[in-house]
Amino acid sequence: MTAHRQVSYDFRTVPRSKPRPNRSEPSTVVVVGLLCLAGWAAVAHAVAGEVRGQLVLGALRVATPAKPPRAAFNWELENGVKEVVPARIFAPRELAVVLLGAPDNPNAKAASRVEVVFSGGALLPATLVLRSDTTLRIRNDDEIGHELFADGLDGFSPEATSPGATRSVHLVKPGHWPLRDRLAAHANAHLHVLGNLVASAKIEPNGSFGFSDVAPGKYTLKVFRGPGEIASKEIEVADKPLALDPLVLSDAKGAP
Amino acid sequence: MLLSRFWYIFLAVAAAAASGAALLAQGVINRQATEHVADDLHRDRIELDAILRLEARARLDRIAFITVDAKLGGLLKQAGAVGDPKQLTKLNSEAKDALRAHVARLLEAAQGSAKDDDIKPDIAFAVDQTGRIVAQLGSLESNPPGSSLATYPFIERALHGYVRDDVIVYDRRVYRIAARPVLYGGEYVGAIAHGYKFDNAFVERVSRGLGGATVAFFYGRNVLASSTPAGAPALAELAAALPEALTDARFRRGERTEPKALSSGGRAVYSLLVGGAALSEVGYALARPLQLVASPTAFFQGASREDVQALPVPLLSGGAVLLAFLGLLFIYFERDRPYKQLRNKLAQVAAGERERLIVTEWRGAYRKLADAVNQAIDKSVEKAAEMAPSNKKKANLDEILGPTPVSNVEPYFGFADAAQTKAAAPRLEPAPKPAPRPLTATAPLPAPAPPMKPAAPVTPQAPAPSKPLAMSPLKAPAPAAAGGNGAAASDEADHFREVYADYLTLRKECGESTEGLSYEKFESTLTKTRDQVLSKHPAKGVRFSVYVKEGKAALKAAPVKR
Repeated sequence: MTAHRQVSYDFRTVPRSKPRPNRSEPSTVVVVGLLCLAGWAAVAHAVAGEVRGQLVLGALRVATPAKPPRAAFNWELENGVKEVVPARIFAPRELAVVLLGAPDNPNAKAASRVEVVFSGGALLPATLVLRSDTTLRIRNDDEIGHELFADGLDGFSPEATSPGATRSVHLVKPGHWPLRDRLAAHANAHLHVLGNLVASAKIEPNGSFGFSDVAPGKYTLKVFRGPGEIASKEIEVADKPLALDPLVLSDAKGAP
Repeated sequence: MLLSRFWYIFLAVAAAAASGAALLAQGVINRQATEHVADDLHRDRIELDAILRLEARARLDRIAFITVDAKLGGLLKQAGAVGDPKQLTKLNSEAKDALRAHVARLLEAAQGSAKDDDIKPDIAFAVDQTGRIVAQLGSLESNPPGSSLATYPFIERALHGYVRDDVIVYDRRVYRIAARPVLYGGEYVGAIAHGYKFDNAFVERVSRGLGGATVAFFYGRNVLASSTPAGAPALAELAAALPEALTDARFRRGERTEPKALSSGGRAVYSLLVGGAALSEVGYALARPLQLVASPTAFFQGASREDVQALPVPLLSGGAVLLAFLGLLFIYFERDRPYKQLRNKLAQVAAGERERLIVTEWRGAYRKLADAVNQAIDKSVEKAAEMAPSNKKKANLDEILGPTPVSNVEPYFGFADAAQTKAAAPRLEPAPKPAPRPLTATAPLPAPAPPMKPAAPVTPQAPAPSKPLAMSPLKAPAPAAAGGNGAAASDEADHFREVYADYLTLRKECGESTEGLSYEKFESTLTKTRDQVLSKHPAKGVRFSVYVKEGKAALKAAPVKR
């Protein structure tokens, strides 16, 4: 039974919206402006031992959730009152920026323990890049339980994690594994275990990232999204803080 | 008995063909019934998908007014700017009240058109622009606010302004979701989502339109809800086949499975639902009964009154009567009538009206029976003659007829005694003068005990065209030897021809060769024999007859008394 109600809407308070440009192809002016702003921010805020950078996300396609065997819905319609907002990439969940060094690099001091959370119904971040011999701690901040597992990875079998509880998994074997959740099947996550991981960056929603306490040396900066690597760059860290040029990301390499 | 035997074979073949047709019909009917049920299930799936789609649209339309609800919009806008859990908790109770008022409006608007349980959601969420739960109703409503649903596709899309349905698994329960954005001040400030469980009342409602099909919704190997109409397969049967269906390749691709056989004989198909919960193996099963014909007799038991009334009873009855009549007719002509005739002739023999049976009047087994009777009569007479003192000298054909002369070395067609020595051509020799004695009518004589009657004058009978083997009847004697008048000669010639025809026929029946035989020679022999008989007996003529003796055709000569 459909509930019918007279809807009144004050068009005076809401300006007539103009057609928005396609977000997946930003204009040149916007890109240049962002680059300049990012460069200034990196120079302004970098400190010694730190590496800062900016990811340019405009060219990335929005990731789609796990596709069910049949259609994901019966109806998906615009609300008819206001224009819909295009989807955007949430960089902290979807991307991972890491520094890789030589396997025998004495500066390699990736954390031996890494903590991630279940938030919003899925893992945050959903792209995990960890060093071998790391303990992964998974905390459940949702109000429902989760059962996360990785097919083919010993020690990461389906195990219930109640709301507020934490689960630990020790990772030794290098490789890549998709992570699935029996109780939240829509959530996609990926685990990459690398033997030469040096540091992982904290990513902000606007795409800026930073590494702290990085020892001088040559490194490879990589950006991971889902199952694959989407960007790579060789850098050299000196005694002073390093501000990297903005890194334009695209879906060319292994994007989900 | 040829026709009768043919009739029996025809009946046997007809019975076998009818049985084969019944078995074939059983197989054809069962195959068609199975295909029909498979088609029904295919159509049921399409209809159920359409029903679920319409039901989803109805849920979305029902909460259309929430998009611009001012109170809820204001609360969500405030919540979006709040980070303090205490402030959020305060907003939580206000937002919960707003949700309850919203549900009450839904129930009021639907008053009378649907049951309250169909309208009232089992779970409801109000989330802010980041997907954070501000308030909820349902099993988890006592939880503090702050948890997020941001990554759930229905929330994520609603926050971007879409109206969307879904089927989700939340807290290990399956819900049918309707989600809408909330606008306030011209901006998206959050979203509302309603969730409904799969219960038996819902399943009964959606399956009503399918008519006669069992419908069950499942989550993995667990059945969520079902509806089983009378006569449809039981839920337990569907549940038993569920584990196999979950591993079916077509099922995992999102297609329906092929119809699976159930323990009661029915058929079921399994399919995943439309929605994100399909990733968690949430789907439905449809089943229908399948009535198969277990045996050809069950095939007839399943006939309805209309089926019976549609039969062409007059045609079937008339055909059965006609076929039965034909069978009885064949039996009458081939068994009953000859038997009756034989019985009458034997009665005549017993009454003394005739001495023996005329073998050529019968066919097949009856001919053999008649011959056996005649032989029995002969033996009885001989035995009686041996045992009883008698002045009569036993008739000696050799004395009467003498050895049959043969003029050449060609095949011999003589009389029985001489025929036993086929190699030696019998020669005409002057017969020894027999002792005078009264002439007997015919030899051998029938009826041993009573005194022999003279040969009864037998009315000449023209042999029937259908009885080529009829014995030559005794006719009025013709003084053929004396070379009598033309009529007598003609009569004798006719008799000779008749005897010849009978002789040939009997030889064929006895399996003897007729090659080399000719009427001229036969006539010559008969003439000579006649002369011999007449020379010895004062008879006015001689009559010949053919009979079977020891499996061979034989001739008898009988003088006709003056």
